[in-house]
Amino acid sequence: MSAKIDYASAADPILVRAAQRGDLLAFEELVARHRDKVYSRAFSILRHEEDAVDMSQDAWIKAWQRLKQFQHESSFTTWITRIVINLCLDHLRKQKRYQTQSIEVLEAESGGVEKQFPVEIPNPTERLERSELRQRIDRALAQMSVEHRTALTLLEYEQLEYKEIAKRMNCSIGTVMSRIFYARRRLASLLAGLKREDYQ
Amino acid sequence: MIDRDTALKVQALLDGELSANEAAEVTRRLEHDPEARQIYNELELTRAVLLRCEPEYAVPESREFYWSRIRQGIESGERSGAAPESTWWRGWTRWLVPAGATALVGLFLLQRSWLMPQDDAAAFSSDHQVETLLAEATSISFRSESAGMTVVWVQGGSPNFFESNE
Repeated sequence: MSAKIDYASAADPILVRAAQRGDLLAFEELVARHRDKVYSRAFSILRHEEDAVDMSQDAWIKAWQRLKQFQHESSFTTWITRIVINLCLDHLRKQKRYQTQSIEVLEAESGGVEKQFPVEIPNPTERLERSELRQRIDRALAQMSVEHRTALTLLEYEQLEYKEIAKRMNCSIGTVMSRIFYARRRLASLLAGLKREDYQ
Repeated sequence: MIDRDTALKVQALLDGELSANEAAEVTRRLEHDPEARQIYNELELTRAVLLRCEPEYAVPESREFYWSRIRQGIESGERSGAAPESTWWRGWTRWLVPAGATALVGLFLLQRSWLMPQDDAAAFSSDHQVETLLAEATSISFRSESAGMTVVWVQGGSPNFFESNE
């Protein structure tokens, strides 16, 4: 008979192992702890509240069903975040919101990513609160296409390699590189006027 | 003006995606090319901003409400004994397969009645029910001359269409 767990104070690995033995209360605690992070990842890709809620809940259900496959090689949050990302990408493909574009099409639309945005010079006088900075980034990400935003999110926040991003987005590595470059430069232009001390 | 390939290589250097030789080559380029250096600095700055100030979004539902659907999904999956993977297509196949079979049978019988000689058609001067036994399925046909309609109900087995003696 296993010792009673104090769910609220138990570390994630303990809760995961309990959930793997069928303890639904342990799993509920994991959901409570990490639901915002999982939802946040879904929303950062989909930019649609209802869809993000649905995908994040589906991810939790899938996680419960596959829990025995989790071998603790990564953190639990990394594992479930990958599940929700895959669900979001599948969702986008079904909605046909996902265009696999060639580099040539991207360049034709953007006029050449290296030409479109001038290099931004930081403004030495402006300082920003972090919350305001987060809001600026949020607005900037919202203005991007889903392809650019997804590529950037997978690289910067999930630390995936180009090859892995290309596989998940069903496009070439060259397209991934162009999308990320365009997204970064667009973000830079939208965040123009910041100096390094504002975000360190 | 820096060309696209060079700009992407500068980015790849930042992202750790270059081989050792390529990385050394691009690093040397940065030392002598101010424009390439500016691009690198901008990309590095943007990365720092993104990592430091990642937007955070909270679930727009209470803990209990959000959990209730997850629990329902878990319990539903356990009751069915199967992982409820993407179920949207299952709902469609449950409807499409019998509907498709029925439509095929209906079309077949409609075509036969349309090709039927007039004398035979005249025999069906009133509503007429025909029971047709198929090899591995049962079906009941209902034909209404007055309505100009044939309805076939097929149940079970694989379609092997032929008509018994009427």
